[in-house]
Amino acid sequence: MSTTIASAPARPPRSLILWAGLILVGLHVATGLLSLVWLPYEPTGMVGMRLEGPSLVHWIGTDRLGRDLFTQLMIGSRIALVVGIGAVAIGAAIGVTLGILAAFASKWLDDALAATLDILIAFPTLLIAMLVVAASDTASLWSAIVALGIALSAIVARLTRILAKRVLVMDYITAARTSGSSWPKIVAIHILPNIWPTLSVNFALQFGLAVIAEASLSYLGLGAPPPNASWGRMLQEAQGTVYTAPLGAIAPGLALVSLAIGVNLLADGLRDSIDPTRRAR
Amino acid sequence: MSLLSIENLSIHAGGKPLVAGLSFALAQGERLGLIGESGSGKSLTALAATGLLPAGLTASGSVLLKGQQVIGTPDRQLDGLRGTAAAIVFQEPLTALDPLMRVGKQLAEPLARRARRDGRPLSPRALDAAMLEALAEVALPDPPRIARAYPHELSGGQRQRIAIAMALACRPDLLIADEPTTALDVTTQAEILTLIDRLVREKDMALLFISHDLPVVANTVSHVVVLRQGEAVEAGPVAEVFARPRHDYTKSLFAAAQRFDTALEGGQ
Repeated sequence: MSTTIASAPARPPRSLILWAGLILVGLHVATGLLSLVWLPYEPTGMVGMRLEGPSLVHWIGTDRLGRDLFTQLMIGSRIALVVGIGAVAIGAAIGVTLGILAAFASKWLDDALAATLDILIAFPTLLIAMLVVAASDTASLWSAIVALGIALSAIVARLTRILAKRVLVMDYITAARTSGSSWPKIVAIHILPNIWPTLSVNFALQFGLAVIAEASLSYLGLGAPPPNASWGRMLQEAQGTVYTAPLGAIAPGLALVSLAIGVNLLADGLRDSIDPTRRAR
Repeated sequence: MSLLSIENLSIHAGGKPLVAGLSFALAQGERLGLIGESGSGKSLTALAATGLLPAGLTASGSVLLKGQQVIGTPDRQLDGLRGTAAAIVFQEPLTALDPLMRVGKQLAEPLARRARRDGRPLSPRALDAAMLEALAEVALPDPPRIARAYPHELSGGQRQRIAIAMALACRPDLLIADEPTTALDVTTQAEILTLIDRLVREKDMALLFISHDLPVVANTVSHVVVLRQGEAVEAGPVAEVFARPRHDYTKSLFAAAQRFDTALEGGQ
């Protein structure tokens, strides 16, 4: 008797996903690093005519004040990376800690934490971030990063809690307990590695979210104040001239999308190569 | 003195009793079987014996493990007892091993812990050697290769051997085997049973063997306790209980096992 076993939906080879992610993210990282030491023009300098189109002198043109767009885009890469890494790091630190605590907590404390997290998640990320920024004295890049980190931590905590609970009931945890392993040790060697593959993909998603949310905050004037050229601010400034000089909006938009996609591909590829059960089939 | 002495153990979930008034004792080198259908409280009894009941379940009565009261004792105090007094081998070896950790590393954990506890920490090289030796002890071929494998790369029987090696790594006085052969095919079952039998004999451990499989129990242990809905309905030496089951439930268990055997033979 021969049966056909349904195969998993076709999926690009793992290495391709990983490489595509590496190249996209690498491009932004390289640009961001380069912007620290070299820029084509003074970022705030009005170096050209207003709203110039692309040329050899200004590769993607100038904005409505005559500043070089490519220079701003490069600085934007750096800001986006700092915001993404910073917000995810803060969100992960708070979220994973809370989530693990909730997974171990007594029933009522766990319920209380879960309910609090549900309420936090029900609030749009951006709204929480706006509240945090509004509560701090001045809007700065750092207040935006902290705000986004706190907003993201609720989702991380919720995910960590449920993932950790799922690992906690496995026999290998009981086996480790029987052999006299302490809880901190079990968290470090069994729980964190086993929830990491799922968490890391979530972190990548969050990275993209944070970059986009920072752009939104900047767009609303709550992010990094001028003259910081974040992509969100560039989009906001290009708003009025989107029909006459569309490149001013398209360029930062494309940069934003390429970084978000790159990080997701990278995380997907990394997850597959970290998880031995997904390796080399 | 008994190694494990359980008296009047009851386990409740909310208000519902899952195990009621269970008593038995096990001395060094003794082998006891806990028999019963699924849901009769066998596994819970094993967990209660090591103080590892899941949250939400409460135990009352007395469980003395190596003379130490387990019920009501805080976790931290039990950690030291657990590594040395008792170890558990579980039913499903796939979930009993961490899927993301190489087998050798998993096995090294309890070995290193036991060595530290005894006050003679092992050097990395000595630990490696001890780990390979432990793999050889459970009759796994090519230990260095197995040590590098992940659990999903091994067969069910190999995984169960590793789970047994991990349980033995703490050199416990009591080995609790919770349906250790149920998830395995018949040939592998026999191999694992022989292995457990040999190791328990060599190391003079006590064995608490949990199963619903009567022939398996009969060949492995000397005494049995038959559980039904959390209550012990019959207890005694294997030969006696199996030859003259007194309780209706025990009789029906035997009848079911016999019917199953007949059906198997008839089907051949």
